[in-house]
Amino acid sequence: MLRIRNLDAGYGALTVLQGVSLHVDAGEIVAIIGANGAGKSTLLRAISGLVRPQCGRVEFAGRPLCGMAAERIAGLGCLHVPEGRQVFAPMTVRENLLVGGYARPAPRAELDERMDRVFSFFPRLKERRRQTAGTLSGGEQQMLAIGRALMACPSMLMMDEPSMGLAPIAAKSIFEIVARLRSGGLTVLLIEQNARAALRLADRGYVLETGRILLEGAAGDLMANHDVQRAYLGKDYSRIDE
Amino acid sequence: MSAFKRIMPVLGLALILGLAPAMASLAGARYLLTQMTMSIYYALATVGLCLLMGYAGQISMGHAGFMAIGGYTSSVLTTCNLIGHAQMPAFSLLERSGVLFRTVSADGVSPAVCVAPWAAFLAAIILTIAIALLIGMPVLRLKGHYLAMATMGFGIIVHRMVIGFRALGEADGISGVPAFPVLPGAAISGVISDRLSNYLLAAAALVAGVWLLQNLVHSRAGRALRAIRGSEEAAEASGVDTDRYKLMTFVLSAVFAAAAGSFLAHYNGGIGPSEAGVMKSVRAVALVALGGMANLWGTLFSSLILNFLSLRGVFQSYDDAVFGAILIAAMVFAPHGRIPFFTANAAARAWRRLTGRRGRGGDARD
Repeated sequence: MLRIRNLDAGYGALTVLQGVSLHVDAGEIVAIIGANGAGKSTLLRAISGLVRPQCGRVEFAGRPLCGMAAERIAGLGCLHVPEGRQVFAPMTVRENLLVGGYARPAPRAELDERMDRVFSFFPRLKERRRQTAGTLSGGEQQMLAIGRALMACPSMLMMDEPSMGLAPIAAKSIFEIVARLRSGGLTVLLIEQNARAALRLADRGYVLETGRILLEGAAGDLMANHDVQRAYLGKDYSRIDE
Repeated sequence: MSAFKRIMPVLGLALILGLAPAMASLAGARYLLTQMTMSIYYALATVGLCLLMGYAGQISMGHAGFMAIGGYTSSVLTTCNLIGHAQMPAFSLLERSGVLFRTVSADGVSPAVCVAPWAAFLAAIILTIAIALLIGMPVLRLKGHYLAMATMGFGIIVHRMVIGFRALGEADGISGVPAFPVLPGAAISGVISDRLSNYLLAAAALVAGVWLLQNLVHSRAGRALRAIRGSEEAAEASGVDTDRYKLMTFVLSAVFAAAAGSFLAHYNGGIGPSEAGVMKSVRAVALVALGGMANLWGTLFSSLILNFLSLRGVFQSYDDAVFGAILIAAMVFAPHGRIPFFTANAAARAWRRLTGRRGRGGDARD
């Protein structure tokens, strides 16, 4: 579904990503793990068109994305749930969702249908649909950010640190949501600092370090990898809480 | 928000504006109508800026520049004498279609041919759209204080051009701008006997403008604008064409300013370079900030009231200082808008408190 070859991207003269290649097949959950500043967010931003790639190829569903405007990429069904949720705080939950539908314009009746689908997925959002997004809890805001992306009928969701800043229980429910999304047929590219949770959920994973892919493999293999354990899973403690 | 709930405040505005002249004449102060009319035109320009600043979150420190472009285009075209070009083939065609009209020049005897006010108005709007597109495309890539500086630069350029060009009257400005017949029997002009009809025309223009903005804000485009203000990046990632919406809003706010500038020039019978001054732009920004940023009604009333007081000379020579102080205060106490007064919600809350009724929905912002 998504194919990236030799991608370089960054900001101005600064190149953050160097020669990144990866792929995501339809129906997969792929996790990208890495430390702060490894370039995880930049990678997603380069795919979704928020950052212009410096060189390399990005293909989504067989179409080249490089140089395409972000709103058109979203229209193709490749949706980015940005870091820190970035809900539109002064707008109501309903309005937030409506803006989510802009990537794929549709008549009102169909938008209402999409919204009903989002609400059936997130009953909490339905309860709070008239509330402004700024008054939601962090977990609810993350639901809203995901729901907003779902309004564009995506075939792939790219989630940037969905558990960031959430209480452990809210983070857990977000990971459950990701699993449910996949069983509903979505492909997910997941970025997480919580490497353990991400790899448990994912089919495959990539380890990104200082802008390069260091390791890749099945999620289980990565979890078993000693370097990964030492660097991202806190090796000595990992067995205790199993 | 339902169409009914949306039209109520507009009707309320129409009622307030409609009653104001009656109150003024009851108080034996009909002369106040002049400043009331002028402040309405300034308010028309300010609510346009409110859309850009409050809703789309893009600052413009050059709003007076657009007002001046509107006012000066109308003034120049309706006062320039084209009689020397009477031999040109297109001349009689333009005259027959009403684009040109015959009049007498300033000396009161020699014949003159000028552009009709409606055609000049049209030209002003078209020129404004062209300039706003030209300026907006590069400038709206900037954010925050870079955008403020760039738009301020534009405002300064307009101001210097207005002062510098002979055709634009240099420091004297342009006078002798004729009446602008907008409806049968009603023209925008400074004739004393037409003071009431002029006030009502201005009020009608403002109500129409606010009605338009009110609908826009609650439309698909308005949601996109508020999303851009909420988080430009998330809006983009959600499929909002942020560049296009920002540019569209910039142009629309410029058109509001230009229309107001043009009407005001006809009402005053002229225009001077002070209309293009940087402080006029700062004043508009201050009024939007005082009104609560994304608050059309707050901006509207703060603009009506403060411009009226300013035009009445209440602030004396501290005029600019007052608006500067307002801007500072608004930035310090409510940098993101949300000043509690003037909002329809605050009124609704006060009403509920008075009547002891509990409303449903609480503080949903309109």
